[in-house]
Amino acid sequence: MVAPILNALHTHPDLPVEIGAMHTSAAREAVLRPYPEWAHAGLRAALVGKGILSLYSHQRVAADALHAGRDVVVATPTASGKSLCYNLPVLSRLLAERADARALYLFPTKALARDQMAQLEGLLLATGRSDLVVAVYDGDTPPATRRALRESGDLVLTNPHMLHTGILPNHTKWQGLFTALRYVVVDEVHTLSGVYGSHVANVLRRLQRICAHYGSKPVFCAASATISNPGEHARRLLERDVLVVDEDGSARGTKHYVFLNPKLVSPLSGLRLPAIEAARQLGGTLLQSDLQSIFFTRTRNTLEVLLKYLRDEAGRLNVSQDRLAGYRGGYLPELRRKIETGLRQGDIKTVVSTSALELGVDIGSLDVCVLVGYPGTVSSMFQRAGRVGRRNQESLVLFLARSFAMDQYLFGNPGYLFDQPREAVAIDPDNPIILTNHLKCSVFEVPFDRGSGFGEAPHVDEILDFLANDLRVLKREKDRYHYAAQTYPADGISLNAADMDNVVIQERDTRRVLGEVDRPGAITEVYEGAIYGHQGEQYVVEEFDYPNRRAWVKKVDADYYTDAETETEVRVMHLDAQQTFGGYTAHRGEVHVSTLAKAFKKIRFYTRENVGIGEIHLPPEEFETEACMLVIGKDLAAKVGLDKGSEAGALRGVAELIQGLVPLFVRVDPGDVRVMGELKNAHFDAPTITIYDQIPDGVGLSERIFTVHREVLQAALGVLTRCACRLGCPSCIGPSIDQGVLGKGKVAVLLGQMCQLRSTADSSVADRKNAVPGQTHSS
Amino acid sequence: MGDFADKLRRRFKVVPLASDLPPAESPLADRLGPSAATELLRRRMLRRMPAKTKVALPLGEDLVNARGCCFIRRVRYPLDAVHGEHALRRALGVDRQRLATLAKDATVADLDLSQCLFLDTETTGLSGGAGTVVFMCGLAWFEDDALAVEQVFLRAFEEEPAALLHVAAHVAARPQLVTFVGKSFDRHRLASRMALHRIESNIVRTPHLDLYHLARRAYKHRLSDTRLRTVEEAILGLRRDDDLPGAEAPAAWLGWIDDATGAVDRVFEHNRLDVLSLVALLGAVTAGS
Repeated sequence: MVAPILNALHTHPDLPVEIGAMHTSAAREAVLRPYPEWAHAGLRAALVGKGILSLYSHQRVAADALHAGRDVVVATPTASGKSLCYNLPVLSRLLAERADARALYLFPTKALARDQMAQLEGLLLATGRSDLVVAVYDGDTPPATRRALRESGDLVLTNPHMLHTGILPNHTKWQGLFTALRYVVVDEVHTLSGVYGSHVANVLRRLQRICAHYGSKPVFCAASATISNPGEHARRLLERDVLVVDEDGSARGTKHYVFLNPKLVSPLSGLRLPAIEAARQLGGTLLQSDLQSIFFTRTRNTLEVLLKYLRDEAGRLNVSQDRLAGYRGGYLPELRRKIETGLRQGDIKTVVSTSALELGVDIGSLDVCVLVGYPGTVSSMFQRAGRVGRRNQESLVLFLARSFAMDQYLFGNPGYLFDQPREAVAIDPDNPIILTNHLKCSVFEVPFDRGSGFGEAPHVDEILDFLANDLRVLKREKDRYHYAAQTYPADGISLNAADMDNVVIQERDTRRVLGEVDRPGAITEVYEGAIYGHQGEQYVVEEFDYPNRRAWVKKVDADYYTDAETETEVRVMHLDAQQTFGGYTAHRGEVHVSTLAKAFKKIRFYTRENVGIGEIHLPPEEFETEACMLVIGKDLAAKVGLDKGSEAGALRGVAELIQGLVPLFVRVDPGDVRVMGELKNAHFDAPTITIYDQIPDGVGLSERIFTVHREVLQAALGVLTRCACRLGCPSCIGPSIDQGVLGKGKVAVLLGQMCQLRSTADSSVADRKNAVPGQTHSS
Repeated sequence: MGDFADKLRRRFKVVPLASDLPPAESPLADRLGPSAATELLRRRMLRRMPAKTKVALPLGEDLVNARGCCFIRRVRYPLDAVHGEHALRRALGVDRQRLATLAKDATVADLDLSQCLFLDTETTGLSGGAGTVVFMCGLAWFEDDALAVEQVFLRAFEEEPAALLHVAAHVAARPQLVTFVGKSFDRHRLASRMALHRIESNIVRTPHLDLYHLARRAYKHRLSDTRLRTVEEAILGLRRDDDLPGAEAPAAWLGWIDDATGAVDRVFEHNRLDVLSLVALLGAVTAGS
């Protein structure tokens, strides 16, 4: 099926790309197993009726274990039938025991919960049983339905945020569910990483505590995309001894990966065709074929521009516009459902998406995946690639490099993707701030007895005393702690930034709501004058009613799109502790981070000419957080040449290296901590590496890094010296074109010096009033 | 408390007691997180004010039952006792047909008014959730030519099961509730805590006359709003002087169980007036508008 496209790539002289490496993953036969004896007969008949005549080996292993009461994590690729692993035992039990057995499913997004519900409804309909109540409980559930669902929901699908703020604090309204809870499914656990995952782990501790209160002992099933440590991750998340099921038994067709670089426009300057232009031309070829294709872009803006290009292309080629769609998070749910259905039924042939289609939304399997740029992680890339490949059919993944260093490096070194282990997912459920906040919520839910424990969390009694004696939100009576404040604690604790208020985008004339955008993103997307793309059409933002979170737009026929420029400023507010070494001083303190959208450019479609600029008048997105700063001393700066002001690349290289290593020391997502290298920091008037928590108020990550930063530097030096590359690569300081030819050498000298020089004897405390004794010491 | 507690204090920006006042050059309030730390500072400031005297409970007695012990205050009022401008007796003679019309519920016409249980709670918060505690429940009913009033009160969290069991027994004995906004608030708060302590009660499904809805229908055309205070003044002719605003009741109780300084004596009085107003309002609401 994909052979004509493959051939065209090689033979077509007009195609706008150079072809680099190819990689083929071989087809594999399915490993099949019969249905287990215990499977509910009606359910089995329904599945057989849907064409599922037998199970894949991993489905059978997982289902048997879950049925026997064993906690399981299933970690197999996209489209390997993960949901049947848990649906088979869960529905069998619910159908057999009716009201005596209930289940709770957790999905990271509302969209996934609705998608799964539709599948479950279809399955139950086919069994002929209509007495089971399966429903989604989330922010979109109408109030009238909520009560009925609380009382009689047999299988409730929700998300971690709703569990945290809605269900657990009101568990007395859910007695029926918690008393009869037999299964808890946590899907897409690879998305529960870093600070967010650490929060969710504590929400699950609260859930398990409430189950214990009602006397139920549910079996847990976690499902994950392929990551390098599914067992370790699920164990930390659920604090249970999980069985790891990761031997994929599903069938795979041959999959070809082809690495493409847009053609050189000017060989002299090395300027290449923009990747989006190359994508447009490839899209033209794909639109004329019968193959179903998916384009992944990195940003919403790129998605809408590419979609417009493909719509223009379809117009020229007389291809129906209905065969083409865009898909992203900000679209309204109904529109997304329509597109998913169109893809499954094959009416839509080409879809352009952001990461929104990376998760397990069921859109069937497509034929060709075009990655417009590297998504940032190996796992993410294979998740996207997993969207194509029907059983026993060939599929094609085209990697289209952008001009960025990382993309160009991968074009030259594709082995990086295939030889590298997938990223590990890390969480820290025992982070003191996160743990303390959830313990407070848990006491609100059920009074807490001293010594009764909270999952495997350490220091629980100490934290309870802290909440009672210092924060005074609890009252201790004998050995029991009671919630003694007027507040609803979950309201003040956000699991992630996505919980924050959204901006609604509304058409002024028709009052039609087009979509929404999260508030931090709004300053770069819906400022007045911005072109807001929606399904490839252009709307101009006439008014951004910031206080009311509403952007009023009007449809226009613009020949340009807009691009906002932001500036992030990190200002030192307060220093708590410092430690001086020979070549540098490490500081711990608080910083104010503000990101301001200042101006935007109008960029003409196709030609990319700059056809105008405008100012943006919006308040900055700002927060205060914790930071650790490494300030390079004069002598060392001179030695490495940092004082000449022209070696910013080396400092950025160190920052990049540290950014990549941070998860080794603080169990977070790389994105939870930001590392930046400045040649001349305004506060210190010296070259500075600033590491800060990318979370309002911070959660102690930078503080931890301050304590262990010597180890981080050692590790960084180790990676650098072990790395076989000559000039720098994504595995160490970033590709050499970012760092300059001498970059790697300079970084090595700088790090080597920082690691060698021990702290001086007269290490001092700058701000004694606020310094905490015991934190400032010589090493 | 070891290093870990110190770490928590630092992380939650709890100011060490020895240096209670923030350094002048870095105003603490600017740096403090929005919620917990500010609240803490506020409490510290309050505590630095002249020491308040301990608040004694009004006369009352221990109530002991299968789930423990709590505090109860019992008062009886003759039927001729006047609340605002009306005798309590008036509630026994209401036009039940008109009451049923106002309530939009035909079954109300068969109501035995002498069997009603008037109920009003005071809680630790208005946002609901399992952790919101009902620390006082005022109950009233007609009995032997008098109105009996009971105020069940928690002197500590541990007294809650006994108090709830007592309320549940009353609801079972007189399964006809009369409240003001109780359908959406009081009964759910009680039900939630009863569920937590595994006390059986049918309180949510018990017949329930919520006077808020009746007052709204009867008076919305003549009054600017139909909050209890407004209706009391305009219809019952009741003026409350020196009444503790209901919104301050949670803080009063939380302060009282903390160091016995919260004004729970005023909460008792506030709740007593609320319960009597339920009785008087039932008597007045059918009198025409």
